[in-house]
Amino acid sequence: MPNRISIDTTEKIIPQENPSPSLNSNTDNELKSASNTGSSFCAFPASFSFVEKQDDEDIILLLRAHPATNAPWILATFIGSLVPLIALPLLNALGSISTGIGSSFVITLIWLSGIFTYAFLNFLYWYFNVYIVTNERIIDVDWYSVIYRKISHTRISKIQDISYTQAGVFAGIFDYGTIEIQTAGEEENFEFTAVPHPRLITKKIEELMEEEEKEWEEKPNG
Amino acid sequence: MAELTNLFQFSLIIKLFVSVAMLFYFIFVVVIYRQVLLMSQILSSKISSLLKTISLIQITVVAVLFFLALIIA
Repeated sequence: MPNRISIDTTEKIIPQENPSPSLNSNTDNELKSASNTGSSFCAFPASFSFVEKQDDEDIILLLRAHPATNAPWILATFIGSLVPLIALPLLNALGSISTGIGSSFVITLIWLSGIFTYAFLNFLYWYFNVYIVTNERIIDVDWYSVIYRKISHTRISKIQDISYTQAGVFAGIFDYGTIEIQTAGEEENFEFTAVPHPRLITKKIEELMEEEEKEWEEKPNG
Repeated sequence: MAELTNLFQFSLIIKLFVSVAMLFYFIFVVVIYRQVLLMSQILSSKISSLLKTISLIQITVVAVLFFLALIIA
């Protein structure tokens, strides 16, 4: 089971787009140039903090699912918002139902309100489901429903294997994929779903793993 | 006369159904607002205040629609 982060309401994660001045490798430069794909790929956000952040911990990546993955619910919202404009006049014309102007108006408003709620909720889930990579840990913030959330994290040193898959035409076109991170022991594995530039992220995490390994070799008890 | 009574009862049932559905919908949007507050505490961004405002507007709209459904629909 992964460690759980207790939610401290006094601290806030404040993502900012400004890159850190300490870009020290080609991968870092690549991350920086690929940064900000519709807010789903933020590399080296400068003033960014989260609960239980350690002093020596630097945020490297803030990730969300690629914006292209929102296409199905955006399309459903668009089609759903057209339904009352088509259905009500059609049903009235066919004589299936006979509604007054007031009733039609209220029914239309209720329907559109429902459609808006659907879209708003989908946006919230996309926006607040984030993956954070620091130089010490990876953090996964998942919101499954309006009443259930899960925040898990693991140390980079606990990662045993990392791989990514890019399946489908859209994943290839928009360059997004799912990263699978296997951790040591009984710790839960992590999955970064449909994140942009999976190759770059994998490369960076592998570099971090190597750094951790070197640190451990230099200071085994550190 | 009997047909009129049946129609009245039918519209009453529909109105009751819509009202109960709207009540649940209202509770749901309040939960969403609470959710937005919680999400913003964990991940605050430039649009957090905008999201809170949208949630509040949504609650107001649904409350108005609830009363409209009671009166008109």
